[in-house]
Order: sequence, then C-alpha cells, then structure tokens
Amino acid sequence: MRTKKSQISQSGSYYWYAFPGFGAFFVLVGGSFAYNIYLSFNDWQGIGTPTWIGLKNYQDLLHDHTFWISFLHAFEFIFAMSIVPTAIGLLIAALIYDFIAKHFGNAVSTFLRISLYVPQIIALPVVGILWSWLLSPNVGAINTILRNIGLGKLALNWLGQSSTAMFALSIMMIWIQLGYTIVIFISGMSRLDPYLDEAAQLDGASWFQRFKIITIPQLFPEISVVLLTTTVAALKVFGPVYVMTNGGPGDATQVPAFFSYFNFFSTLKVGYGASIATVLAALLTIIAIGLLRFQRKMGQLR
Amino acid sequence: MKLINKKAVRVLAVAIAAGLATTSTISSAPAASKKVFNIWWYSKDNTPNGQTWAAALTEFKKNHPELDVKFELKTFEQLNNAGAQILNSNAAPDLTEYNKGNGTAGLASKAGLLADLTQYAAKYKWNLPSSVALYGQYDKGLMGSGKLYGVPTYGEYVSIFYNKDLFAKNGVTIPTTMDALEADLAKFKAAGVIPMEMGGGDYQSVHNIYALAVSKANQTWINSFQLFKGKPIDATTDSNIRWAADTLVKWNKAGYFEPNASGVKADDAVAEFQSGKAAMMIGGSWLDGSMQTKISTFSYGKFLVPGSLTVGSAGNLLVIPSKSKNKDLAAEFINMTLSKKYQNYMGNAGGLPLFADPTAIANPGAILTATPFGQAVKKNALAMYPDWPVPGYYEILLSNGTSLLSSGDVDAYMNATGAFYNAGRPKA
Repeated sequence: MRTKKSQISQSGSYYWYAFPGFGAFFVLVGGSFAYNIYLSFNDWQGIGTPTWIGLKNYQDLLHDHTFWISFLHAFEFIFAMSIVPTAIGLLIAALIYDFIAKHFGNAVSTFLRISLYVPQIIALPVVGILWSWLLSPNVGAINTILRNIGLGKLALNWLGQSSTAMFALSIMMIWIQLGYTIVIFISGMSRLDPYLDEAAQLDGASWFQRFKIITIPQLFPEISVVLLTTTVAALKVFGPVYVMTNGGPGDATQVPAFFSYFNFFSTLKVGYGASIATVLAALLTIIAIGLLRFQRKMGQLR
Repeated sequence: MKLINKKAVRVLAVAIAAGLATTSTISSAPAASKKVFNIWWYSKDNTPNGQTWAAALTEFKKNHPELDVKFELKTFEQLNNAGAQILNSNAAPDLTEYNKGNGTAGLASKAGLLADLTQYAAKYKWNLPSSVALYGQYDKGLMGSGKLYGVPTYGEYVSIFYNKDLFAKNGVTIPTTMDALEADLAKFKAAGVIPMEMGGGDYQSVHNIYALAVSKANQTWINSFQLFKGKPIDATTDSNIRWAADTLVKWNKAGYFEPNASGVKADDAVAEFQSGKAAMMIGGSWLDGSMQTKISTFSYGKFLVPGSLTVGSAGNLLVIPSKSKNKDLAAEFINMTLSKKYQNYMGNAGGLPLFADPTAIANPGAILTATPFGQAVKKNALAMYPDWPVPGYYEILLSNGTSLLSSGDVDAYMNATGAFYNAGRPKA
C-alpha cells in the first residue's frame, strides 16, 4: 500500500482528486469573499452602480457603537456556546460513560445520549419558537414553574429587558450545544485504553483524579476540535438572534453577523454590511489559525 | 403589511436564507406554443385581497386562453429583501405585488426597474384620488408625487379592537378624546381587567407609539416625517414622538398593559385578547380575519384611536417591471382588480377595498372593519406606517420600543430612534 500511494503522488495525478473540493471552494467561497471585500470599499444600495469610497466604511465602523457592542456580545457567546458546553459536556459525558452505562446498562445511556443530542437536530426556527414560549414572562413554562415553587422573584421578564436577554439566549445556546460536545466526548472516551484507567483504580486513585489525570489529557484532540468549531460558531452566530430577539431590546443581543445582515438587507447599506462581514471573516480566520496552531503544538508535546 | 404574522414569515425567511426553499409554485403545465405570462404576489390566499386577485386571475385566464399564465405565491420577505435584485434580472415577472415606500418601490423606480403606468391610468380612466395615487407615485425614488409606478387596490389601517361585553359590564363607552381613553383605561384597571393588550416584544409597541404620535399630528407633520416635504423633523426631539413615548411609559407604569409587556410576543397578546381577558388592543386590519374566526365567547368592535390622524394607508402596490414583456396585458389585469366587480368582491371577503360600492357589501364582519376605515378615509387622515421613512427603521423602532417598555428611559429611546431617522433621511 505504501509504495503504491507514493507512486501516485509522485506522478501528480493525486491532486486531481482535490479538484472538485477546491473548485467548489473557489467558486462558492473564494469568489463570494472576494466580491464581499470589493463591496466593502463601495457605497451601494443593492441595485444601480456601486460608488467607490475607499476605506470610508471601515472608518465609520470605528465610530459605530453598535458594531463594537456586537463584537462584545460575540465574545460573550463564546462562553455560552463553547466554554460552558465543553466543560459541562465533559462532565456529563464522563458520567454517562463511566457511571450510567456501567450501572444502568447501555440502553439507558443510549437513551440519555440521544435525548441530549435532540436539540442539535431540531431546526433552529422551531427551537426559537419553543424557547419564546418557555421564556414568555406571564404565561411561559419557566416563570410558571418558578412561581409555583415559591421563587416568583426569579420569574423575570427574560427576553423583554436588556439586563436578562443575553443571559436567556445563553441558556438556550448551552442547551443546544451540549448535545454536540457530549456525543463527541463519549465517542472519544470509547477510544481510550481502559487498562490505564483500571491500573490507576487499582492504585487507589479516586474517580475525579482519574478523570483529571487520565481521561482529560487523552481526550485532548476531541476537546480542541470541539473548542475550535464551537468558538467559530459563536463568533458568527446569527440564527438564534434572528429568530428570538432581532438584536433587541435596544442593542442588548446584537451580534456581528446579524448587524451585517441588518445593514445589508434592511437598511440597504450593502457596502457597510459587507465591511462588517469582512472584519468578522478576518477575525474568524485569525482565531481559527491560532487555535489550529495551538492544537498542533499540544499534539507535538504529547 | 410588514408587520403581519412576523413569526411565520420569519420561519419562511430562515428557510429561504438557508437556501432550502425559494418559491412555492402553482402553475399550469408549460405549453411550448403559448406565450408565458408571469404573475406574482405575496398576499396569502386567506387574505381578502389574495382571494380577490385569485378570482380576477381566474377570469383573466378565461379571457386569454392563448396565454400560459404562471402564478407564483412569493413571501413578503422575498420581495422585501431581494425584490430589487429580482426585478433587475431576467427572471422578473410581468406583474407583481410590491411594497410601497421609499426603500422598496421608490428605490426600484429610481433604478428604472418599474414601468411608468401613467398612460394606462389615462387609457382605462382609473381616476385615482390623490390620497391613493401618492403611494404609487415616486419622484427620484421618493414617494408622494411624480410618475405613477404602482397601483394599490385595497387599504389597511390600525385601530383599537375592543371587547363589547367588558365595556358594557364596566359601564364604559367608546372614548372620543385621549382624556376619555385614559379615564377608561383607569376604570378597567380598577375593575381588575387588563385595560390594553401589549405585545411589546413584537410590533405592537411600534404601532402604539406611532398611533399616539399621529393622534397629535397634522398633515404637515406627515408630509415632513414621511415624505420629506417642508421643514425637516428632528426625530430626536420631535414633540409628537416624545409625547407618544412618554404616554406609553406612563400607561405601562400605571399598569394599563399586562405586566412584563416588553417580553410578550404579539401573537400571545392577540390570543389573550381573543380569549376575552383584555378590554382593548391596538391592532391592524390584517387581524380582522383572525378576530372573526377566533372570538366566540364575546362580541367585539373597532374604533379609531382618538385624535387627529390614524395609522394606515392604501395597501401594497401592483407594479409592472420594466423587463416585463407583456405590459399591456399586465395593465389589463390591474384594471380588472380596480373594477367595481372585484372591489365589491374584496369588500364581501372582509377586505378594505378603495373603490367599492358600500351598499353592495353584506358581510357583517366586513361592515365592522370597513366603517372606521371609511371614517378615516373621509377625514383624509391616513398617516401611513411608522417604519416607512427610512430603510431599516422598523428593526430600530422595534428593539428600542421593547427597551423603552422595560427601562422607561424616554431619552434613550428618542436618541436611538431619532439618530437613526435623522441619519437615514435623504440629504436635501
């Protein structure tokens, strides 16, 4: 096998297999991205001829309060969509894999895994409507439960006030993201060598010690992939904001992707919307490269 | 029209954004020899105008067996977001419904994408009154005067729905002044009834504020605010808007809306009114159909918000794209929709025709909604919609209206919405 593979790559024909992928990339992503960068230097309403205005859109961005606050929210979403689901996901995955599967059998653990993954399958608009009902201040399930158990003071106007809207959205995002992290971590755990764990157990290590010293370091590839994909997803988050709050109340839940969309399609400041998208894309590229480098470095250390 | 059934529209729009669905096509099998006539609209088939246009299209097909008529039901968001790009392409239809206003029809007319209908208006003697024609007239992209690029065939307006049973039980009569309205609200509050529904997490705060603002305004203010004629309005300090925002906050603090109004969705507020829990609700004529079918435990009525002007306008436009290959046929269809026959048809379907014969309308629900509209039209008091003047204003009004209800900070509301309006208005 080894000799055959090197023969193919030497003759150069191997690269043809990459053609469909690269072709699609250049046409669909590269072309659109180049056009987007071009538009960001123009003043354009979507029809007619774009007017070249150089860096003016970017200069305006510097002084746009909403633009900055939208990026602040994007970084807050890294907590809700990446860090918290990864941390809780690890714990729940370990709980299901180590404890529930061993004591209650595979059927129960499979059922739990599937129920936790369901939020990933439901279409986002449906999730949005579902959570709008749950969070509805007067008749919603969450506040009704809180009032019935005597915690009426905690029954807040979740999406209706600036102080809690971001928090309410974050809770929903954690619920959505957990399924993704858990499924990846459980599949990662099943790859681990059980002898290490058993040996440590014989030496008298507690469950938490084994989890910390044996499981987590071995799961490093899975953890870094999950952190990378969810961080990118958090920075470009659009759907939940579009479905739930439209960026409001005020600009309490405004995020870059929605702000770009708003300028592009609602105010028809296409060039301005394009400049926001360009900044977001540049930032995402830098963060993704940084995380990949970090991941490779950690891989070499092991 | 922008504010109808936002949730359903959103769901559709997300599907579209994801590239999952673009159109729902209802068309006859293509015949190679026939000339194709493409016609679009987005008024759903449960709306009176959608039903009326569909009936007119059936007759149109019968009159023109030589045509292969292809009808596509679009969505509001499709034409609102990408309409200009579609009209600019070779996929443009021969006739379509399109949104009135500077950001849509105005922009398209300025870019030369819409055909001038002036000659057809003369040929068919449409004789549109100025208060109706102005929605189809654009001069350098600004609505209100100039060439005729579109024709509205129906109207819509915002008024107060009220629960007749609760009014009778509490000895409340229909208010004719703002003071009387406030006294009624206080009376219901004291009686333990929700005085006014408010889905402040959705469009209802936008409508309430504008309805209050125009109740104090005159035509000069509308001309300036909406059509940019005369002395410009500084929307950060305007006294009508300020008074409306103050009043909304005052009513909210007095408990005239349900608690947590800023987090309540419009659909939930409408459902609560329909269940008989509230005395009043400010709502648009597009809710008429839902009110007629869903309210069974009490009787309801409608009255105009007391004051000078009423939120409302002629409806969306029928336009003929410049790229249409069948302009004469398209104009013939527009002429059918304006005829007494189909205007009366719309009235009986519960819609708000512009040129119907009142004696020809028999449906009681239709009379209920047509009467206040007739009063507003007679006073020439239609004040248009809050989000028209500048593109993207709706989202700003909505998110800041929600914020106003929860924080009560009128200054912040005036600054945020006013700065957006001032920045967006055309430079003189």
